[in-house]
Amino acid sequence: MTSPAGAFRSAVSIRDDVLSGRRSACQVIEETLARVERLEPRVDAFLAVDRAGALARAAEIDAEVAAGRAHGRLLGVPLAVKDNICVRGLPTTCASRILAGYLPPFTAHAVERVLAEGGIVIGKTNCDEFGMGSSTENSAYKPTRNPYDTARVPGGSSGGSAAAVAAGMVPLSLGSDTGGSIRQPASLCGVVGFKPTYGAVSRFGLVAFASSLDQIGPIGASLLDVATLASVISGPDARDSTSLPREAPDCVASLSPGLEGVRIGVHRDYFEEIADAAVRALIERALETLREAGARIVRIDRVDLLSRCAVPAYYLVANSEASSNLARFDGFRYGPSAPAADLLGAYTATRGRLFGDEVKRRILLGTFALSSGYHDAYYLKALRVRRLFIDAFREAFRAVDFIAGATSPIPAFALGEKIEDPVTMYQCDVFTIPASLAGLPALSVPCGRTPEGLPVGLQIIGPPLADTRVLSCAFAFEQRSGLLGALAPMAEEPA
Amino acid sequence: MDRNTVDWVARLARLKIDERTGARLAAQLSAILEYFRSLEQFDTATIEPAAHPAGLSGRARPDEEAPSGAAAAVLANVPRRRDDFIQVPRIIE
Repeated sequence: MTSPAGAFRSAVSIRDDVLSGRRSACQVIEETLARVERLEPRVDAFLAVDRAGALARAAEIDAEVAAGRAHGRLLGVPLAVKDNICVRGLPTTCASRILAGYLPPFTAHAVERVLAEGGIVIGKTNCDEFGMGSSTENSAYKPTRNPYDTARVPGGSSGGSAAAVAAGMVPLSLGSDTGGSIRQPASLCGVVGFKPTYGAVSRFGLVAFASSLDQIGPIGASLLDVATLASVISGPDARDSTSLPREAPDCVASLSPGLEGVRIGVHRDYFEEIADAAVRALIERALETLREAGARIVRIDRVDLLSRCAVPAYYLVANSEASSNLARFDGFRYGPSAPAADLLGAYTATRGRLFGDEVKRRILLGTFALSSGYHDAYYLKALRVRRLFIDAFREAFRAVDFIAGATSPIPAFALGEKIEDPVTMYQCDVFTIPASLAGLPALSVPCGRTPEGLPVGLQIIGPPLADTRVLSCAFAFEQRSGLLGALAPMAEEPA
Repeated sequence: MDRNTVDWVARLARLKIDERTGARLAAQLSAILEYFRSLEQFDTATIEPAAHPAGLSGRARPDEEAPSGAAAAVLANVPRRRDDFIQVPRIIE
């Protein structure tokens, strides 16, 4: 195994240190908090940092280690959690003013699993409001900046979770992915981001955006860490009726560096038409690396052809579901409330004043697509195209084991560059959306940097439930990429 | 999408939209819907809609009583309450 360079300390090595007593959990958390304090003014990855809670939990863990009772795959490991994932006792705002001050009465299933394995939640990370965006600029509180170039976006919507890892503030974080919100920021920040098969991780405690697409997943600096967290958070949960009734696979034990005999499908025409030249060059090189590892590269044309309408199909489905899910924010049960004389006035004033522009656009689009007279032409049409994607992938996976290509057609763009033009922003998700529509496991792994020094990610998509195989394929690539554990330059700066 | 349609949809969605925002949204939503017309290139007349990813069906839990245990924490988030009730404007005159 290639040894990681520089400032990177893997979650797995932190856990081993804490368990063996080489370092105390308190020491790990103190160092983490010091790094967050030092780098946060430049990155703005967090909406809340739970200093007292994290230190208290670390002290408990140290007592357990001293008593010989300590266990857990994430013992003493600091993690950051996207702010649309509930942690009891910590504010959850979804980066929206409409949830300002909200304290969830429960903890998300995925976070419960993390805590049960000894993980320590350091804080809540910034994101696009309700996960709606591809740059984290739609946060009602502040934009997050890309640790590789702070004039650029980290991607989104899980931009804070990706940036916190890329800046070396935490080794692991949780994000959520509806149309690419884990993979795209992972790509733009040069870290690993994994969206499990739809249903593999319970959505209990994840604030709903588009229920048939939303999925919680891990972000980290190495495949070993990401596979560890994926194993921890996967598994059935009776509180989510779409949670798959199968036990969590051991994603770590199945990591293997070889790809002999593996068939990898690639898109060509549409990818070459729309992807940035620097991205195309790095993806070609990545495919060459996969070939050197023993994989055979096969063209798949049907998914490529359909990709031309991935963005419209996705935005119609996701926004229709969002318009329904976000109806619960009425100003009466949580969050601030605008004063009004009557009920309807209170709803419209609270929602009109406290939702951001992008959220309003999406609610309006979804409401329109579901409204009488337009439902068949927009919503049903999109669901039929969604079926075409599911069928095309099923067909493709008869001939190939994985599909590989760019995660994002472009590297990190400048803050403010696309925020006024929703259509251009939506097109950032063109390569991540197809796997979302079909509920497939998909991952972004760093595959190089552009001449400007910006990270680019290779996306690997697998058939349903092939989560461990997708992680293993990416692991084989990572072993040859020379980028294992690479973090942004700011992570290497002396304290 | 014209201004009137935006107002109609905003009413359905319970969103108050001011005059200036309404005009901007009408232009943006029109551009988005225009872009969405690319879906028309695929003939889907005989295709079943897919509301969910493949191979999933909803599961029902056993219908058993269980404590939620969260009433106090839930009520603590309510902006206007009286005792254990959520206060809303009068809805019956």
